[in-house]
Amino acid sequence: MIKVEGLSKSFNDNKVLENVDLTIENGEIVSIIGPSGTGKTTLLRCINYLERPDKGKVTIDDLTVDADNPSKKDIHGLCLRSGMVFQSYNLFHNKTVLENVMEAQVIVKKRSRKEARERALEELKKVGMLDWKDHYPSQLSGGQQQRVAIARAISMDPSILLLDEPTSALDPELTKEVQQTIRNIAKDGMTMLIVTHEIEFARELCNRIVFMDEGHIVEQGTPKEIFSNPKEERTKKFIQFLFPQDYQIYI
Amino acid sequence: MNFSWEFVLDTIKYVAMAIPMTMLLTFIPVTVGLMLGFLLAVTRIRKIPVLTQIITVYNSFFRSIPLVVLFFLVYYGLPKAINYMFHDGMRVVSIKHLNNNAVAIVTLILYAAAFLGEIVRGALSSVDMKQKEAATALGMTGWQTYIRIIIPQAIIVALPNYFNFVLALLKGTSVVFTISVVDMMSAAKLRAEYGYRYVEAYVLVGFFYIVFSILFSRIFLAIERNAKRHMGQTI
Ligand SMILES: Nc1ncnc2c1ncn2[C@@H]1O[C@H](COP(=O)(O)OP(=O)(O)OP(=O)(O)O)[C@@H](O)[C@H]1O
Ligand SMILES: [Mg+2]
Repeated sequence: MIKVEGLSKSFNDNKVLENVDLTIENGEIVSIIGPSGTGKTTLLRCINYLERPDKGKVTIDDLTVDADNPSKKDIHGLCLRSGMVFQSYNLFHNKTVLENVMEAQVIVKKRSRKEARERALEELKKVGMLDWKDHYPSQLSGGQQQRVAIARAISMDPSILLLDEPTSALDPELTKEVQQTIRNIAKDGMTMLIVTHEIEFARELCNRIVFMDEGHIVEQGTPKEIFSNPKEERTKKFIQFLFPQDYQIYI
Repeated sequence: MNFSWEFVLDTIKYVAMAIPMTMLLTFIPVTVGLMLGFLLAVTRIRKIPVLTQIITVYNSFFRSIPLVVLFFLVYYGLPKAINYMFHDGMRVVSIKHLNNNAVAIVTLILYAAAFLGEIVRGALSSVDMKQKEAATALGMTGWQTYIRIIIPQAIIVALPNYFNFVLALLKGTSVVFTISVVDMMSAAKLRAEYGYRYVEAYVLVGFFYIVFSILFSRIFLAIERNAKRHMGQTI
């Protein structure tokens, strides 16, 4: 289970997150949607302290970290309990696909190389990248790199996978293959929090949609509640903006 | 024209005996200078106040001054500086009291550090730092990330510039005759003056420099190729 309580974050005078509360149960798949610049990425990055929040608590499983006095060990603990998939993949350029997936298993989890290798091969198979295990990131398409990045994150056994617009840098064909990979991971019961602009994908994959605007969570509910029956005015506007005119058709 | 092959053959052994000195003058500075340069680069990247400004001045001094001027300055200036600092300006120490070889090596280390620091800085800042975020998110520490991810990539970027500097310094060391250090060039010069055979001596020593330059650039190119392969690139 992950729980965010009273999370606030400003950059200089720019209040990006204000008092955000969010709970995600094990096995849930939650998507955050909302206009550009409303703090979706920042929220994700505050959960594993890539960005240090100003205020609030983050809980993942047994570990609660308060922004008032987080120790290095606490922050490390959050990173161990979460996995992150970035918009720009961020694979290690000097490592092969296989080494990318093994690296943190060996260095951080202290698994033996043999064990790490077996696990890496298993995850690469799952994301359909086994044949590419000896290639370097520079030799892969964006979609392939993202699938490796997903395998790399999953191999660390995170309690939750955080995905920040995992397909927004990809063209439609590659977007599909990465989305299929994410669906497969979902079937295995991985808890996920996904920021995405791919509304169709979010609708069919997620248990819950969270709509954010200007640093607040405005409304959350099942895809059906949010897309066909939004309560808040701002949500309605956003949905209408996404599906102009005949947006009902999509639902 | 009277070109004495006999003199050339005779001089080979004198120049050859000075090879180790030329190699020491090249490879000690590019090794120690690299470590020093790394510290300079990190200090500049982290923008540590005061030190960063000092390093900027240091770099532009050593990168702007010709080596031969630097060595003359050391030759005439260093004893003076020591006398002013420790002996109230009395002429106690002269260049004869100093170990010229050591002075040359230290000077070249300081010179190399300025160049190599800039090369390292450029290489480090060319590495995509989003990888560092990914590593942090995976639970790797800053050190682990630098040692295993960032620095290996920076090395690959830095290698061509680094090796260029090594080759330039190999030739640059030939000015140490100004402070009476006996490297290949000095050895040739001494023989030339001894036998009044200048052309022969300098043709010979020029040949030595060319051979070593070609040899090392071959080796360096092979190393670069091999390193690039470790990032899935080909030259
Ligand atoms: N490191 C930073 N320094 C300063 N301002 C930042 C930083 N990161 C984000 N911001 C600002 O915070 C606000 C929210 O950014 P964030 O990236 O979280 O939005 P987002 O909802 O993910 O937007 P998008 O849909 O475009 O990705 C923006 O106004 C942005 O300019
Ligand atoms: Mg974003």
